[in-house]
Amino acid sequence: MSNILDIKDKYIELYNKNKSLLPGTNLEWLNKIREDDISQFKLYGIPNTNIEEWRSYSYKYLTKNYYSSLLKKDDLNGLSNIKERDLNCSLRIIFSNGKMIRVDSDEIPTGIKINSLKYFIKNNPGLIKNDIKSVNNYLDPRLSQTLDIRSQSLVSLNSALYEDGAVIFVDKNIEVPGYIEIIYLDSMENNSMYHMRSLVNLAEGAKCKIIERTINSNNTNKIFFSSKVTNVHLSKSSSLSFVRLIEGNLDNTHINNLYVEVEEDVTLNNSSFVISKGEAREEIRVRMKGKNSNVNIDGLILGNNKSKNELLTKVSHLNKNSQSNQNIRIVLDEESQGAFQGKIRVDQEANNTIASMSGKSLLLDKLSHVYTKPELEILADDVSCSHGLTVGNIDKEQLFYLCSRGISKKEAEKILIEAFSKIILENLSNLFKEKVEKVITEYYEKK
Amino acid sequence: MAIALEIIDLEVEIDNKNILNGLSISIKEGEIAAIMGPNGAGKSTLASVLAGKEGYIIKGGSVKYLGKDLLKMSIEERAASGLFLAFQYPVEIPGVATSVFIRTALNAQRKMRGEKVLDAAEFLKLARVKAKELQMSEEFFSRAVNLGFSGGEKKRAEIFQMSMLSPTLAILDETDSGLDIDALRVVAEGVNRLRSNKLSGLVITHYQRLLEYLVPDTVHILAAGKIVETGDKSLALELEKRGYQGIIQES
Repeated sequence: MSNILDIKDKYIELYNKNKSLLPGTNLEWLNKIREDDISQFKLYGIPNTNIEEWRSYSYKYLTKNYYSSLLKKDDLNGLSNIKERDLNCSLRIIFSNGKMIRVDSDEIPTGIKINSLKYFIKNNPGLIKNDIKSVNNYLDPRLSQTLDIRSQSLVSLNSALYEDGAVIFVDKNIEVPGYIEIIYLDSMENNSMYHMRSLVNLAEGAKCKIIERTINSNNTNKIFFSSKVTNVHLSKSSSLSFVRLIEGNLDNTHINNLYVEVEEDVTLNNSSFVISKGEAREEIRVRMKGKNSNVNIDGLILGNNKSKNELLTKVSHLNKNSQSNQNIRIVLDEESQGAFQGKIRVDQEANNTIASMSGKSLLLDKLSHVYTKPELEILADDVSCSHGLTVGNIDKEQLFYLCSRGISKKEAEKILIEAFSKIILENLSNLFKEKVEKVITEYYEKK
Repeated sequence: MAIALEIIDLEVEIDNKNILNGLSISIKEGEIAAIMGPNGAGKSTLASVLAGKEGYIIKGGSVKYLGKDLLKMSIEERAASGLFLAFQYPVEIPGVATSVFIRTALNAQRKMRGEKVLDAAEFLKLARVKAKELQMSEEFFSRAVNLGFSGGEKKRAEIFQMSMLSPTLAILDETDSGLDIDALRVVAEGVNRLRSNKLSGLVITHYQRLLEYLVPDTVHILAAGKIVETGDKSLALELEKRGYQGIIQES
């Protein structure tokens, strides 16, 4: 265990020692981003509970533990955890301990480019140049108009240290058949970490469905840290369904940052399932730059055995006639903690915005805690916004109703808790429904 | 005929208020008893206590159902031994499909009684027949329990559940409230179809109207937590003419 300032210095040292080994050292623009961002990190270091966005609770390891090694080796044993691709999965990209192992597909359809970030940095850096961004691009003004980057300091560390990631580019008017699956298998050594930078870019009229899973494949509890930053660009009239499942183990810390830039007439359906047994945090920031777009963000947090899972959303309406919906469910048991910080910002130009946010939490024991914070920042006049957050226990009337039909109390509680969680599956594409439902059912069975 | 339900001197309190004050009633197997009474008389409390809802304090008296002490049984045991409560306000349960719910309930009851559970196909076959009898479309099987149902649909769904679970004691708690005359008829016919010398019923209602279609063997008037008058179906008609006040004052 070290103190937070020492840890910061050690990461900077780690970067300086290893920078010549990182992919893209020959690319000046890429080096510049790494250098810019490490100096940002130098300013702010690891975020702690003094930072507004990080104050729900303190992360057990991030501020106290130095993850000494970057990724070293892949672990092919982890592959035994993966089943055959199912029929609808047209493309699958698999990482083990942060290194790409392979892309599975019969043949890659025309109009789709998919491979590791490392591959594109080496073979086609021009393609990705505009999509790899410095943390400075992700700044959002606060109401006071100050730009605050402290909360995203780990993204600057990611910028400096990423070694790989998934890259998916879909050409104009191409619809990806079925869906694409991204799998991260983790069997990391103690005190290690990896940083991923992934890119998704849909050209005009392109359509794509992606599911990303993070799975702890060796089922042992190792203190390790993963940071995944995903940059998504959705061009005019494109449509993306993005589903993310984070299933980490005890002592794992997973931090995810998703940045989505939305042009006009776009549809985005994002669903995040944060069900780590350790600590996990998912940040989703969507900038709706074009008009007439539609964004849905669904999220589910399931916590037990003292886990900490957190979801942060920020939807910025920057243009008129767009809609956004956020629907979050949290179920906590066994002294676990969960947090949802949701923000809707409507800029002055964004008239006719319709935005809603709903978050419902179910607390199943006295020692679990949920932290929820809804925020609306509305600068336009002609806007319809709503938010509602509730925290409660199992509904007694519903319980009585089920029992009065002959169902035991225990079984009835189970039915109600699962139903509360599975509401989030309702908007999910049918391609994913069964898959995700299985994960949730298994979660409750193992408990 | 044997006694199905026997309530003797039942006293029930909730939130430090006496609701039932020595209520006694006995119902024979195959008998349909109507309980009528003004608002606040304790009708719904009686239904809830019989079904086992928490929060009521039993201060005295006894309830025997088919010779067993009903008050000692858990909610689900009461259901498995044949008690069914049709709710005045059926509860909405988002995320639970109606068919899954009823099948789980039916099989839980069958298991408790040591009977064979129904598989999905057997269940569906039975459900289709019952739904048709109640003029319900099968589309409702996949809908979430009571969610977004109209008042009439909810009540019809209660009777559907009842016919699926085939109870031996049915308690209908103001099943007629909020129903138009056509829906009332369908619901009453649904109950009549289930009538047999094995089914006893406790029909709680404000109005005589339901009893035109669902003709009771006995009518009891409940006021201030007690049965104040017992008679046959003509008592309901008399009540219609004279109002509760007239009858209660007289007794």
